[in-house]
Amino acid sequence: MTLDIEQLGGFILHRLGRILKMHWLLFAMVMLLSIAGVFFINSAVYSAYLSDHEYFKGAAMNQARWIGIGLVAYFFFLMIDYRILPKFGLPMLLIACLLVVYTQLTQHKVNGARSWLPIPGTGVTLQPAELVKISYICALTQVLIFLRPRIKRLSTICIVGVMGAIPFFLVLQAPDLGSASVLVPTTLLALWGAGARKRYLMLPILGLAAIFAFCYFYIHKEGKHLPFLKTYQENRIRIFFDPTLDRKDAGWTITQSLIDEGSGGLLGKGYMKGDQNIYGFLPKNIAYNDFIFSVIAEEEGFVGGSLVIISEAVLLLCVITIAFHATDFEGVVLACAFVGMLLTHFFVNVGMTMKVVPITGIPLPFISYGGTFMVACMAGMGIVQSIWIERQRRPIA
Amino acid sequence: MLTRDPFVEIRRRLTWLALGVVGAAVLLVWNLYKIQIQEGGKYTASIRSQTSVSILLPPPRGIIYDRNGVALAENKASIDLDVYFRELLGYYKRSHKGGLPMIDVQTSHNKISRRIDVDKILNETSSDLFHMLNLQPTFTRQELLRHHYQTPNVPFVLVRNLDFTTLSIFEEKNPNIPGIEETVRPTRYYPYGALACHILGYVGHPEEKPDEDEYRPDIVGKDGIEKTFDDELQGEPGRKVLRRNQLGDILGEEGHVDPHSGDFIYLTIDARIQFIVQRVLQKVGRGAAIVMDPHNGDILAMASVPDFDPNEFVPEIDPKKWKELVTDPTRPLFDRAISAYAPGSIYKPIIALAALENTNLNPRFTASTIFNCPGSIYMANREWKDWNPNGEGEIPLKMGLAMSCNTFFYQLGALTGIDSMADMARRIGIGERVLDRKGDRVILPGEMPGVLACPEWLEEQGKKKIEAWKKKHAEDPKKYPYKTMPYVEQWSLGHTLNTSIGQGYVAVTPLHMAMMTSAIANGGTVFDPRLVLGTSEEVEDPETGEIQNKKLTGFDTIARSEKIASSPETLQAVREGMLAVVEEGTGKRAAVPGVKVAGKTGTAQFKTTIEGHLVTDLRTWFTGFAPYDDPQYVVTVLVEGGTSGGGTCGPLASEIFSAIFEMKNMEKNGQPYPMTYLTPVAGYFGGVQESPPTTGLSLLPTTPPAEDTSGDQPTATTDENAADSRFDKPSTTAPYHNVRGLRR
Repeated sequence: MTLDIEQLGGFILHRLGRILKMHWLLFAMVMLLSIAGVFFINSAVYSAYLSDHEYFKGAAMNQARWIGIGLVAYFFFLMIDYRILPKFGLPMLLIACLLVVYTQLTQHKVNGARSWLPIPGTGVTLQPAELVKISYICALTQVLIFLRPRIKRLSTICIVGVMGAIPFFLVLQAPDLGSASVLVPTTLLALWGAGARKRYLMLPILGLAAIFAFCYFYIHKEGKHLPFLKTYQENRIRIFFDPTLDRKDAGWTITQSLIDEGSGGLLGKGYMKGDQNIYGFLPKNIAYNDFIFSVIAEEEGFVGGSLVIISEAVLLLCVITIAFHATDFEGVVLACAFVGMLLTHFFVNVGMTMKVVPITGIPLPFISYGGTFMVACMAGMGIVQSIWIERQRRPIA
Repeated sequence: MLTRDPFVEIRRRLTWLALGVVGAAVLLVWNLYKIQIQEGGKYTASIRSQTSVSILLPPPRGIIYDRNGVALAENKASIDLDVYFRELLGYYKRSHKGGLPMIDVQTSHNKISRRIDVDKILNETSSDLFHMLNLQPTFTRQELLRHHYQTPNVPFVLVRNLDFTTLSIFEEKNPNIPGIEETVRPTRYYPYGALACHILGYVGHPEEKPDEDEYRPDIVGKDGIEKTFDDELQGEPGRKVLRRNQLGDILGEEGHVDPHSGDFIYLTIDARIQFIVQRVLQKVGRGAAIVMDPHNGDILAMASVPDFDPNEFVPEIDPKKWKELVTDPTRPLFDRAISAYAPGSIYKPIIALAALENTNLNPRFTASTIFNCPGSIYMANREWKDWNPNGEGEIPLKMGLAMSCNTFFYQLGALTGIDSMADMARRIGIGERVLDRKGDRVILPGEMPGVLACPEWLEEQGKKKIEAWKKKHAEDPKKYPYKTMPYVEQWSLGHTLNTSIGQGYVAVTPLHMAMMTSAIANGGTVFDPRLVLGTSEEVEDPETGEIQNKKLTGFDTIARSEKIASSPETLQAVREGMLAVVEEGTGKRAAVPGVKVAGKTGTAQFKTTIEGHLVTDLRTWFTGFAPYDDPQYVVTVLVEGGTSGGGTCGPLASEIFSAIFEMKNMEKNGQPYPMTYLTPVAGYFGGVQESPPTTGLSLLPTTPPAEDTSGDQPTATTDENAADSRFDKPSTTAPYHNVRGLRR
């Protein structure tokens, strides 16, 4: 095939032109949150202690770099036609799962989990679990496209459930209950968008409610043990219901988080002035990712905290709007799946700092420190933008 | 459904999804609101408790001074060894890889509770230290555990008052165990030991109240001025607020408030006179003495023996010593100067004053009225004896007082009548607490009012008895039938006659007698005795930073409105009589060379039970003033178990007067009066005599009667006063019916 410069040039220009058609509000929200995130991370790692300070000093810059890489991914996926992705969904998922398994087999535990895979040649580590989330969405879409005629049937749900169970358990082995459990709401919302029967979707929800009730009555009230839950996971459940059980240890984090947020008041203590954070009451290793919201609430107060919540919500509503305007089945499903993923991260992350949900280690989209996740989210937003841009290309199917 | 437009369905679903997102956001915002705005205060408060630790700095207790600024109760620095639990436990944890030994403790609600075994930790970390310093722990494991549980942030005192040697060793070889530190604390110190101990009182730890967790002062007053003025003496604790991080390390001091010393109390006591009095009383087994300024009622000295050393109570009295003090039959903790006793003959001036003032008598009784005084007199259907069997013959008031003639006063009393005598006694304050400023404040707990014997009082007593009986009868009619109803005594001439010589139901405190004597000395004005001059507070001048004394409250001199004599002539008669007591009468041994002393002796009959035996235990008195022409001092002395007023108390008063005048001379010459640490006087039952007739054995050595019979001895045996009820007294003798009969 001869390389036709003109055709290539036209093709590239055409693709670049898509940038102009993107959903500007979504882009604004993404950038707003990301940049704010950098500042918050900078404040979160600031510490009165030199040793801590040294260790975490470069965090903000690192995050900025990841944003840069993320933006590359964002624009890339924006420029391509999103319909390619479901075609490669399952293979992508397979690769991601293999990476996860590889990580677990070869890496040693960091902070109690084998979740990081160093890329040889660079000093960078990757989190395969985050890649699983993205590739799972694509794979799920692929499967749902296949199952579309039978979407209303219970069997669809079961097949999807089985399919999702595999990455779920694989990630769970890390152990990373948080990331694994993100897959569940993602799946549910994808099914919702795909048109599965409501009553069938209620089953897993009821199941979750039952688990919650079980946790409450059996574990919290009666104090019995479950054989398959690890102690610390069980403790997490107990501590959720009553952080005072172990104020000094496991309950420490949530107690501190509440104190941090509560003492922030209406306007907060000011940027870089959150004394709970500075003095290390909120452990540094979580202050800049999982509990970044505590720092935000402490320093920027109710005003700042609400703004962040509202911004994330607006971002999600943008994605839903895009789903509204999607022109085909896969567009809707992909968009809904991303809503599911982001909403879960958002709600659980903020909620756990407020004792609304138990503590799970999942990051706040675009704000928490974490390179792989940032790139994954950016990529996701790029895909969603692609859906938006395509909306006028084809008639409604 | 299949018929439905899928696009519409998608739209509907997406709308629901959008609503879900909004709902989630609202939920989060609302929770944030709840935490930050509604409950924000709670969390901010948590920060304070996490990040700051406050240490209380104990305030020095206010100093109690005498009228000249001599400190009677002050503070000195005590260097203690404290343990701060948090630091110690942190240290232990770090060196033992996180585990803390636990122990099961029985709590007050009979539950078993798991607590940190602080005792074991302390033992492990500090037993070497204790060994090196050669110290024995004085606390129990219980105390340690309880202190840690209740007030873990308050340091626990391991050893108090380290002496210099031990302290040096500690400083030099300090093993630097985190949490074990030396602290300087103020402790109460009485520089003169037992000087004015009953007035000052003593201090100790407050009662254990396990539920309170507010600041409780380490030391509170338990008796005397230390107790009644405890609020003023306490002062304000200071506080040091330290900032710490989550590991517990102290980062710096956030705030510092200096402790504020307690208020200073100024007493009317003159320490030198108090010292003189206590030295003189050292030879007395049980007694009291008061020196008063007749011009204003200020108490210059007030002492009681046996006494105690308040330093022994600081910081905590040895339980053995406490038991000794409390079970000692001579009662060293008891302040005799403010307790009620039968006055005996020193009550006679009151009779004289009452008679002289009584305008209803016809003819009026004057200084020149003569009574015939035989050795005994027949009145109220029986014989009333004088102490002198020969009588005194025909004598005026002056000689009646001088020789303390009973028969004179029987007649005078009968003439004047009990109402007149009771009124005069009331003017002097007998029957009420005179240091208690009309309910304003009780200056000395334990002050007794005495008994104002009069018909109204007797009626009151009778009513009370009937009431009490009625109650018992109502509860158990079988055990208390009507025939057990007590007789109500009616006042009779016999009561009056007894009262005339200061026996019967009359009871007075040495303080009352000092008041009476002061009034006679100063021309007739009765002053309420004043023990406390006032209080003052140390304030820092905001401009110069200088410490000044700011007077807070003063207690005024209070003169009673009713005088004891309406004209100088009436008073003069009594004064002349009292001068004659010392110059030629029963009080010769109270004389001081070169100084004219006037006064009155008294010997009151009383019986005490010692080890089951009823013994005679005379109450001997002397009260007087000097110099006669311009009285400066009033001295009242009481001795339990003395031989006679003139024989026992007279010489003591003389010594006191001499020493005071000598001291004043030294003062004039600019010489300071030497005062030393006073050790407690031990009490003994001297001077008691086996009371006849009793069965055989005499367990106590009987003292032979004094050769000098210049004292008086009442012949009428009496009913024991209800007021002297604290001592074991014999059961009431047969009630004094209105029966004409022999009374012996």
